[in-house]
Parts: sequence; C-alpha cells; structure tokens
Amino acid sequence: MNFQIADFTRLIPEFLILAIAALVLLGDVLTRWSKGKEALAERTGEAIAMTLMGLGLAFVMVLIQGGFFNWVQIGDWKFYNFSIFQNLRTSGLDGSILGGAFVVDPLTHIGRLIFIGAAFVTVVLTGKARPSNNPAEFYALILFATLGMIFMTAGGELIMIYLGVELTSIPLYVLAGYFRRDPVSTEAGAKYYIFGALSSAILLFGMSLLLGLTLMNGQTMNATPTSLSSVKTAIELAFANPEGPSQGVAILGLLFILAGMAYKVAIVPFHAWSPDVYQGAPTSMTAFISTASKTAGFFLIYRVLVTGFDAPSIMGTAAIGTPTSFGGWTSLVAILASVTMLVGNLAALPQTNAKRMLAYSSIAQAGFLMLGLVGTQRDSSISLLMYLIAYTVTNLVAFGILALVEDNVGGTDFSNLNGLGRRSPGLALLLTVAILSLAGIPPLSGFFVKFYVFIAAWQEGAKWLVIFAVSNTVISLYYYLRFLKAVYFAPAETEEPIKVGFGPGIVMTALTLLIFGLGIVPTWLYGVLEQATIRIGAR
Amino acid sequence: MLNEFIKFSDWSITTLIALSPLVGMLLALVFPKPAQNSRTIAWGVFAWSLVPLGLTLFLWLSGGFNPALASVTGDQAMIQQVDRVRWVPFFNADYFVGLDGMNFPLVFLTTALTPVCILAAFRIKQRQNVYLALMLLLESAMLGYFVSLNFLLLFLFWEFSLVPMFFIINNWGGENRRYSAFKFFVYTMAGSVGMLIIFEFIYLATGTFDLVVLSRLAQGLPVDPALLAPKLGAGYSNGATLQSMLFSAVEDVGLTNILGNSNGTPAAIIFWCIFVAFAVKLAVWPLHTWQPDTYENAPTSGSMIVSAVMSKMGAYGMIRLMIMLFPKQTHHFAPILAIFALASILFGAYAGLAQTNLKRLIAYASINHMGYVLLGLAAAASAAPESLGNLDLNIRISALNGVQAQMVAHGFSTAALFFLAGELYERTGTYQLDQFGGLRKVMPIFAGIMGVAMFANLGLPGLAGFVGEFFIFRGAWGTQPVITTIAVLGLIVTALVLIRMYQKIFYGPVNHKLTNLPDIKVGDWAFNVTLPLIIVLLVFGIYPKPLMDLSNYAATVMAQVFTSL
Repeated sequence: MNFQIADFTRLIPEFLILAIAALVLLGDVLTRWSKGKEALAERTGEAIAMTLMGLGLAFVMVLIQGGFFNWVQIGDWKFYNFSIFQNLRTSGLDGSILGGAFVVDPLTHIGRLIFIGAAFVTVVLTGKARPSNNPAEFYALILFATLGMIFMTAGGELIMIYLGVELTSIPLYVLAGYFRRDPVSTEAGAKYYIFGALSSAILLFGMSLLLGLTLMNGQTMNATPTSLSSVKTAIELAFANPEGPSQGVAILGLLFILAGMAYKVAIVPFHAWSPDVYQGAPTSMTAFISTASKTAGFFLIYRVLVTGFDAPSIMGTAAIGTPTSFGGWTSLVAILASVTMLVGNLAALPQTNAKRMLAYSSIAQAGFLMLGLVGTQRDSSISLLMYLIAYTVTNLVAFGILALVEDNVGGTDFSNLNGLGRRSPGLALLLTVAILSLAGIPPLSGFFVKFYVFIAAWQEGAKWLVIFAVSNTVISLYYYLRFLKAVYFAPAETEEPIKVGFGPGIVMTALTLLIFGLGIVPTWLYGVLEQATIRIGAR
Repeated sequence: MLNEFIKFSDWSITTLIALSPLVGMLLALVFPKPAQNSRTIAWGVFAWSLVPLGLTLFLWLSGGFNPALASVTGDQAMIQQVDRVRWVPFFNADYFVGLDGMNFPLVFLTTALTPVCILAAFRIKQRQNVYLALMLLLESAMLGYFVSLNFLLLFLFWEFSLVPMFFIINNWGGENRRYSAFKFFVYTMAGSVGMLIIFEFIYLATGTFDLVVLSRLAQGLPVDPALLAPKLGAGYSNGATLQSMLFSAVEDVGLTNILGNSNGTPAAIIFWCIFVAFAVKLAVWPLHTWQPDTYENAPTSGSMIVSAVMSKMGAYGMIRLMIMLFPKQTHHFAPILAIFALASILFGAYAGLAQTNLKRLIAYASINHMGYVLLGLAAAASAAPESLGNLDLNIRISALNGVQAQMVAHGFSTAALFFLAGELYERTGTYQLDQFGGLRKVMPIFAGIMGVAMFANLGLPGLAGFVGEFFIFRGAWGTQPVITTIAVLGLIVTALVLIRMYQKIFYGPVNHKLTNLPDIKVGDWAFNVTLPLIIVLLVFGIYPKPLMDLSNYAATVMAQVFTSL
C-alpha cells in the first residue's frame, strides 16, 4: 500500500513528462512577451523544441528501463555503479506500485513507447495548425494527455484507471476544439466533451458496482478492494455461488465498464462522436486521437478483461456450435467486433472527405482489432498488441500526410488530394504505402497483423467471425482504393509541389520504413510482446 | 520426411540467383551524381546481370540441377537446391526456395533475358542508373517469385514485381504512361486480392502455406503432420486431402448451409479465385484489357521484359498454385479453361488484324500466344477419350512440355520483336504501320533480323516457337479435339497478322521520308542486343532437347496425376 522510495525510480518517465510539461508552461512565461508575430514564433519554437526534447529523452529512458538495451555489455567498468545507463537499466524492474495501482510490466513499457512516440510525431506534425496564442498550452496539453495514456495502460486498480482515462480525455477535449474561431473544430470539441463525460459516468458507475461486489465478498482485509485482482477473486466467488445475487452485479459491472471503455475506442454502437471529432479537430490532433488515444483504450480494455475478468465462467466462448456454446464477454466482444467492422466499412464507402473516411476506417480497424480480444490465449494477446503497434504507425503516416497536404492546400476532401502523385510523388508514395497497409496488402505490416488476428480468433473458435472479417476486408478495399484513385488518376489543379518541412519529411519516411519492416520481418517484435503477454497472464 | 522430396543446397545457390540482382541495384544507386548517365554504370549493371545467368547456366550444365531426379519414394519430382529457413514462426511460414522442372526453364528465361533488356535500356537517357536499378529489382522480384515454394513468400515477390514495373512505365513510358501504369498496377492487384484471401482461408484450414506440402496434400500423398501448424484446421489424418480439409473447415464455420453439402464446392470456388488472379497476369480474355495499354506505353526495354517474362508469371502461377494444388478441379473445369484459351487465341489474332500501331499489334499477338499456353494446360488436365488408350499419358506430357517450351520461346521472340519495334521508332519516330513501307531496301539487315524474330514468333518449323506450339497442339488434339480444331484458325490468323505487319513495314513502295535510315550493322549495339535472342531461337528451334529435358520429368509426374483421375 505504501509508496516506497524504490518505487520512485520505476516512475521516472512519468515524472519526466510531468516536469517537461511544467517546464513548457513555465518557459512560455519566461520567453518574450509581446503581441507580435515574431514573439509568437519564438514562443512556439521554444515550446516545440522543449516538448520534443523531453519526449525524446523520455523515449530513450523507457527503452533503457524497459530492458531493450540489456544486450549491451558494460563489462568491469571502473564507475560501474555511477553509470547513468546502468542505473536506469536496473531501475525499471517489474513491480506494482501503491498496492497494485500502477503496474510496471512489459505491457506498460510497450504502451509508454507507443504513446511517447505518437506524441512526438504529433508535435512534429503540428505545422501550420499551430496555435495562434499561448502556444505552450497546446504542447503541454499533449504531454498531459500522454501521461494519462500511460496511466490508463499501467493502471492495475479501478481508481487509477479512472484517473488515467480522465487525464487523457480532458486535454484531448481541449485539443480537439482548439481552433476556437472555427465552428467545426468547436463542435468537435464540444461533442467530444459531452460524449466523453457521459462515457466516464458510465465507466464510473460500472466501477462502483464492481467495488460493491468486492466489498460484498468481504475480502477487504488483505487486498485493495478496487484492484483488478480483487475484482477477479470477487467474480470467481460470485460465480461459485450461482444462487446469490452477486452474479448479476458482476455482469452488470462488466457491461457498464465495457460500454464506458468502448466509447473511448469508438466501438459501434458507441462510435457516433468519432467521425465528427476526427473531421473537426486539427489534423495533427486527429492523428493523435486516432492512434495513441485508441491504443491506450485498447491496452486498458485488454488489461481489465485479461486480469480482471478471465474467470472462465464469465469469459465464455465465441465459438458457435460447440457443447460449451456461445456466451460470456468473449461472445459479446465478437458480436461488437462484427458490428463495428461492418458499420465502419459501410459508412466509409460514401464519404467525400478523406479525414472523415479515415475516421470510419479507424472504426472498422477497431473491429478487426477486437478479433484479438475474443480470447485470452497467447496468440490472441500477441496479435492484438502487434496489431495496435502496426495500426498506430500506419495511421500516423496516413493522417500525417493528410495534415501536410492540408497545410498546403487547405482542405482534406478527396478533391484536395487530386493529382498528388504528379505534384509530390514522394508524399503520394508514402500515402500509398500507408493506405495499402491499412487495406491489408502484403508485404506491409497491415497484412501480417490482420492475418495474425484472424488466426488467433480462429484458434479461439470464433470461426464465423473470421469469415465475416475476411469478407469485410474486401469491402474495405474499395474505399481505400479511392485514395489511390484521387492521388494517381484525378487531374491536378496545379503542378506545384507540396512543401514539406525537413522534420515531418524525415519522421514520415521513418514511419513508412517501419511499416515495411514490421511487414517483411514481423517477428522482431514477437519476443517482446510474448513477454508482455506472459507477464500479464495470457495462457 | 522432408528430405524425401527436398534436396537442400550446399551453398544457397537458388538464393544467390534470386537475390544477387538486389546487390547490383544498390550499387547502381549509390554512384555519385556526375557519373550517373555514364556508360560505365550501364556496363556495370549489365555485367552484374550476367551473374544470375552465369549461376543458372552453371547449375544447368554442371548437373547441379538434375531435372530427372525423383523423390526418394518416387511419388513426385525432387525439389533441388533448396534453401529453407524459418521466417514467420506464428504463420508456420518459411523462407523456402528451390528448383524443379516447372520453374527452372523460367528461371533460365528470366536470367537470360534481363541482360538483353538491360542492354536494350542503354537508349534510356534520363536518370539511366535509376532505370537500370529498377530493372535489377524487377529481375530479383520475378526470380524470387519463380523459385518461392511458400505462398507468403511467393505473394510477396509477386507484389514486389509490380512496384518497379509501375515506376518504369510511369516515369519512362510513352504518351499514356500514367494511365497505363496505374491500370497495370490496379488490375494485377485487384486480381490477386481474391487469391490472397483464399490462401488465408487455406492456411486456416490446413495450417501451412508450404506449396510443396499443399500439393502433396492435394494428391493425397503422405505428409508429415509436424509440417502443419497445430490448433488449426480439422486436423490432419492419414488419407486427408486438401479438398477434404477445406471442406471440413467450411463445415466447421457453418458455411455449408449456404454452399451446400458437396465436398467439392469450396475447392471449386477457390479454384476460380486463383484462376482469376493468374488469368489477369497471363492476359486471358476477358481479363486482358490492361495488357495492350501496358505494352504500348512502356519504354522499349520495359515492354520487352513485361511481355517476355512477366506474363509468364501468370502461367507459372497457374501451374504451381492452381493445377498442382487443385488437380481435380482443374480436371473438372478444363473444358471451360479451354474455351477461355480459345477466346484468347481467336480474339488476340483477330484484334491483331485490326491494329494500326506496331506495339499494340505485337501485344495482341502475345495474347494469342498466351492463349496457346492456357490451351496446353487445359489439354493436359482434360478428360481423355477412351480411344486414346496408352497415348493418354503421352499426350498430357507433351502438352505440359509444350507449355514450357512455348513460354521460353515466346519470351525470346517477343522480346526481339519489341526491341526491333523500339528501334524502328527511334529511327522513324512512329509506331503507325501505315507510316512505314519498303524499308527492306533501306535496311536489309534490320529486315532480316526482324524476319527471324517474326517467324519464330508465329511458329515456323526450325525456330523455337514451333516446338512449343507443336507439342501443345499434339497434346490438345488428343483431349480437346473440337476446340483445337477451331484454334487452328487462330494459328493461321496470327501468321496472317504478323506477316501483314512485316509486309507493311518492309515491302511496298518506299516512303520517301524514310530513304536514309541507318541500318543495323554487324557488331553494333542493336545487333548485339538481338544476336543472343536470335541464336537462342535458332538453337532451340533445331535442337530443343536440352530445354524439353528440363521440364520432362516434372511434366510426367504431373501428367500421371491427371491420368489417374
């Protein structure tokens, strides 16, 4: 329960991000004060530089702490004990802090890397969508949201999870509505806020039911009543006694929690906010919301379901026709998955705005992702995590290119992409790779992860779902190819190339190479992810 | 178990052949700017492209690849010079490349034609080193495709081969290049998506992507269960075939309610998906419409490689993935395949008659020739009439051998034709047939070389084109007599098309604008490009035995599958 001094080192990346966020805000006060353009540019540059440096530092630290550099041999160096590298390496060992409220395990490390990386890319991409006043707020909010996402991933206890969700959401509401003069952006912010607040309330209600359940089972003496492990024991107890009233409470709690989390990751039927928000928010923010925020949501769902609800009685199976038959949350997830991908795909077909279409495509992708959640076997877990990583990278490229085009052309309709292949062949190529990866064309990472979740779901017995998902990939091809049609077929209004800064260019190219790398050698993440899933308890 | 039908390589020569062009590609790209368009790089790339050819010839002549080698149990041809390394463990997929009688002739075709095409690409002036690097990338992708024995790997190379070709057409092509490049890309891709999805399903049903294992399953030959991924499929038991495993997977999913309870339906659906993917590539009617545009708008050396080698990727895919994995379905649907083949033959020939553009004319002639390839495959798989008796096996073997010979011969002759068409364009600035006339008087050697290429293309005895067509027709008469009778019409019309082309260019009154065109001189560049092509056409026309020996045993094994059906 207590906070030990040794726990501090495990939280170094979080403290670092917090400190950087504070510094960005403070630094803004200490820079030039004036209404002029130059002052604004100076303040913006300073905020961006500090944010990027902080995120980069945090990223490297997580890499070292997470044991990704354990292959480096230091040998018998004289100042062995004083080496920062060596100290960092031993400081991030696995463990639970604050009585299991904050869990440090490989999953947390992976989450940190994804969120910090995505935040880094987002900041690089802000480009012309930069804030017109008080720039530091904008970047500090990104940092706070990143922090919240890490808490969501690491939360091993209901209150911490709730805090993480709120810490993520509130900055994102502000960021989505950041262009106050633009009615679309304001609408996005307001809509996001209202839906988000509602879903938080639902989530909290579900949590209170679960708390009631654990207290009812009277195991408050030796464990935190709100921790996921207590929830698990309480549910097992509840199902051990089918006569008692607590079974219903457990199921209700699960349903409410699932609904609350489904809002965050835009699963049908809780998806209605996402197209409007994605379209209205500044494009770089859309990239952030659609990748990091969604990934954090899935990490949360994964941890909650696998550590809190993996009792076979409430898990059930998504297989049809076997003696154990359909039931439990796995089948609920399977149904939600099929509805989500179908609605996402069908709604994406008639869109004329590329950003909005990508929003629906993200919904469909969430449906495919959920194929990794229809069971808790190791293949399911690994494929889910692998999909999340590939999805984050790919969507960052897709939205990133859109953001770059929007900066130059001023819109994100398909007509704004017309003739991109002629205007900027390089950008067009990157966008093509990202789109083909989303469509699941080999050898890009999108194919391998998609096929891997198919295999996983098939092994879990949800064969009908796999067939359904496969037929959905065919639908999705149509609207993804519309991108290519606009880019390569439609005539360009001008031949003028699109100006891309050095930073965004490098970042987008690197991410595209990552799409290829994850596709051609899909095994190089396997070991890490396997560790993460073993540690969390996937069988 | 594995060693019974696989013979590992001692020094990874198959991998070397397939991937060595990639090193050359990198070398061509890293040279500093000032030297970019110099001949040094071009000659360097050319020399590099001789490496895979040298290795292939070494294998062929030294006996490192023995086409007549049977597997230990004698139930299939031995796959030789194999490299097999774990690639994606969670998909039970290996990096698995090897050679057998079905892909070796095509490996030879690719490695032999690429140096010629690279030599022909010396005409390219803009960013020549990039162009040559793309050629090497294309060679590597195509070789990789031919030698891959794992579906995932094969598909990866298949997709990769589109990329360099797309850029070759898009950046260096003719008038309509952007449209053609995109059409080429989308057509092939769209065609193959169905196949990809189908193979995902095959993997779920059987637990392997390994094409050798799958073909053994398809024929009901014993398979080591350890080669199949556990937890997937309906579980392999002795006597299970690919067809029955697919059916039980479909049953498991509950799709039998929709598809009906027939054992063969799933396999039949899969068969057609695979057929469509490769029919697009082979330009079978009615999926051929991308092909004339592509051939017309690609730069000369691009047309050469796409018509000579890339279209064979379709035929090879049909052999490796369609016929070898679904022999029963191929047997069952062979008459329909034959009708598609007939349509391609007739359509290609008659459409060729109407062309006024030289390159489009050759393109339609190619559709016609690829029609013969499909006819040969259909004939080998068709049910034979009782009256054939002992000849049954024999005619199937000759049809399959004919297919291989036709692919190689058409590759060489059509490459020569496209090159000469390009040279005519360089000299006259047009592809329009009515702009030429009487050029034989102006350029006698040019006319001679083009004559050889043209006659080889239409299948004159003594030249390589004849061998393939002869064997295909010999096989086809036996099993598909009616369709073959009509197809003979195509044979005559193609001859007419090509001879009419030749006549319009080289005979008749001399166009007064074209009186002082430079002829090809013995020993100059254009002569050197065409000489190896002509030599190969002559050698294999007079003495086709070495070529036929390559595929003969593999064809025999395959034909036996069909005689027993």
